[in-house]
Amino acid sequence: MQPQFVTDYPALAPRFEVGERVRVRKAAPLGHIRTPFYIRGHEGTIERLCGSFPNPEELAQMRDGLPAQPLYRVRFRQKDVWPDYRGADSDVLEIEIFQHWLEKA
Amino acid sequence: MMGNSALTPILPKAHHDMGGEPAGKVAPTEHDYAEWERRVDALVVLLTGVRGEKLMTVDELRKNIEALGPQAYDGMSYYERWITSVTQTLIQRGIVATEELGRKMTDVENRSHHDMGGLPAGKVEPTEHDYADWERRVDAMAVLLSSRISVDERRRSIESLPPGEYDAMSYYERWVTALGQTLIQRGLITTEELGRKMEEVCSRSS
Amino acid sequence: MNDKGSYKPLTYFQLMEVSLRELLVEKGVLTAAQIDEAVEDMRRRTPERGAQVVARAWTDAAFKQRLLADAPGACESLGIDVPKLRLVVVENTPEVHNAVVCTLCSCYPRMLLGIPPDWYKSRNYRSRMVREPRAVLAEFGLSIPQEVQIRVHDSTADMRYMVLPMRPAGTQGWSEERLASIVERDSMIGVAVPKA
Repeated sequence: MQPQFVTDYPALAPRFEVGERVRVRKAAPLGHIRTPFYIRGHEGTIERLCGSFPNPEELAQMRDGLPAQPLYRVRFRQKDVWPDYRGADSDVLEIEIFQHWLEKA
Repeated sequence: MMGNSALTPILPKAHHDMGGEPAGKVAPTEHDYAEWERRVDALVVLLTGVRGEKLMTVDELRKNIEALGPQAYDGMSYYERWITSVTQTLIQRGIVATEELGRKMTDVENRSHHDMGGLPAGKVEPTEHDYADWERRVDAMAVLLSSRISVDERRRSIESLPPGEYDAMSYYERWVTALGQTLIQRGLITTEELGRKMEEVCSRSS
Repeated sequence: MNDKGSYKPLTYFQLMEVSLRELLVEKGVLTAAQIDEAVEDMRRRTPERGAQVVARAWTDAAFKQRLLADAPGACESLGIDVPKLRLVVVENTPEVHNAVVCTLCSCYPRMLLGIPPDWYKSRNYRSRMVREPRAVLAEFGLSIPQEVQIRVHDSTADMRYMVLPMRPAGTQGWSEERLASIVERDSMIGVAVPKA
């Protein structure tokens, strides 16, 4: 799978494929986190591999965030995320999520 | 929304993490950015190395904004938050020291005749309680770790707790949070390790 | 640096900005000239640059393909510099309408479009755009039919997004310059569409 952006950081290998169903882990640790609260615990589909980037959780602590983590665009159906969603059934959310926040659904 | 209550976070959701919260109409406001605001923006671009040397990351800047807490976050304007965060990050990085910043601000203030005044303070309530086992353990951990983590780092960490939550949390709730933050900042544990351990403990105890 | 207008005492935060800047210059971390140049550089980055990119994509199919696959490269090929910008362009079609938000802070393709508007950084937009995009778009005066899929992009990490709006009807034969003149910033965020 070709990443959207090729980077040259030492990086972990991507574990997920485009089209694969994944779930966002429902953790709530301390520190700087870029996985929004509202999407944790929800299932979506890998839309693309953005590339591998240093972990922002570690960068925020003045560390280098390496090895770089694969970052994916994950697509979620709005009606799966919000029980009261009133838009179209086909409406989606696309969010960039780092590999360590994802598990196979 | 998060159906499994065993994984309800101990802390309330962070104030900046607002996706999905109810809120009012979007007022399509704009303003002409003042020169000082443009300079703050420029400082961020320069210091995060968009061109040339990178002295800090935007991640540290975001983290320090997130540490402002609800009242400051909502009460400050966008560039007020950013200049505060740039300053905090430069101090954390050791590029600027708290003391020299204080002296410089006094100098500038004297030059600009700006009166900042004093701060309000509250009444002292003389309450007590019998300490729970978990509270005694927090105290013990702090003592045992004190050779590796100075009391000043712990205090600084408590000071950066959100003001609104500072008041809503008990003494040991603040201390265990500060201990956690400091351990992460020092690299003794990582955010990911803590998250996975908390998940594991939750599933053990449910 | 000249602030126009009448004298006002400094706020605490303006005091902080002045003090910090003077310290950084005194310590040789930055120079006053660098800061001035960076202010001017960001001032030059405006939505007109994005409009140029959109107008080219509307008139040149090969450029559009490149834009969708390698947006930074496509911008640079037009002489528009976008240093370190991980730009991803998402295309509106008759079936899909895209909109961009950053719920966690204010991520925005600044190096292409300049500084984002206040409302993009506001609590109300950041909270509601992921949850009720159709209601928020309606407040902007944009009504999207139910048959059209809305894709909301929450830029949480390293990517920055720009919407490629659809070329409106009634613009056949227009020059690129004329086409660019109807592409406003809000249509590249996804809360508006260009009108001929």
